[in-house]
Amino acid sequence: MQIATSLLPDCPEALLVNLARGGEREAFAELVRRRQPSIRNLMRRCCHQDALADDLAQQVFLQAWLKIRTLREANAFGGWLKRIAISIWLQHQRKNDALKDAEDIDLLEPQSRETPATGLDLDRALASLTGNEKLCVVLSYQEGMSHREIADAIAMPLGTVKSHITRGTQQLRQLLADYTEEKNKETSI
Amino acid sequence: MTDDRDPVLQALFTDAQQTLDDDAFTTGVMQQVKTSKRRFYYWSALILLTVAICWLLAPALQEFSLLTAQALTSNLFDPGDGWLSFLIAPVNNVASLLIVAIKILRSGRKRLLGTSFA
Repeated sequence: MQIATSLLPDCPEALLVNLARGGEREAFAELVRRRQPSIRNLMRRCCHQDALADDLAQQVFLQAWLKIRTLREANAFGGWLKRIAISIWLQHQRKNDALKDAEDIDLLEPQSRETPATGLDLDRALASLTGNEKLCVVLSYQEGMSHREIADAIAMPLGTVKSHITRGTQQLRQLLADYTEEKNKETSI
Repeated sequence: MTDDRDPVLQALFTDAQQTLDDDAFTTGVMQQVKTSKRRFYYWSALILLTVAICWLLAPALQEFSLLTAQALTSNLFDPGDGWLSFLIAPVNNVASLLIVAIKILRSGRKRLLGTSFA
């Protein structure tokens, strides 16, 4: 099935997925264009390095392209892509486990100029969490996933996910206390 | 416990979202998609070629492996028929000599370079 490239930006996602399943590269490129901000932002929050985040995000889309024929529900593309992203991040984390403990917040790669100050502070605070705490917190706050969805996605007991999120949230609140106070002032005014 | 989120943190996560340039990224991904397809064809061709070569050269390869096995298991010297022949049989062959030589070379390199690349 061929479709004019100019029409792709207006196509519903399910149609694009079906076209991509049939090997339509232009349709897949449109899917990449639409989904890249969410995947790249997810990776940026997880690894705090723009270049590495983009490399991992590229791997996510490459995997998606290679496996797209295995996706049964075209409407489930977003969730499916997120699961690939989580799996790629976990693989990367496992490979770098030996170096994980040596991670120093101050040695984080300088972010690009476009990274907002809030993003920098948030990344620094996130870097102080353990790998699993960080992943659970990011999936909950950034991706809006429920605890149950997170537990299913990372194959972890629900109770563990909840405690990771609770601990992570408490730690982030402490580290980002200035923002918390600021927001509290804003609401009291 | 519910899935309630801290509103301040939620707002921070929302503020931290970046608007990212999509064209360069999409071009990069699609380039990799193209390369992966090409790589798939190359590997398929290479596997087919290897199978074809093995199939064509099967008799020669079989003969070569037999000769190699014979050469590797041949005695370094003739110890006679006594108990000594049984005792040194595991090391009295070309394969053992090669293994010892490789071990010596590797340990020599390790000492010279101060590191192992094994």
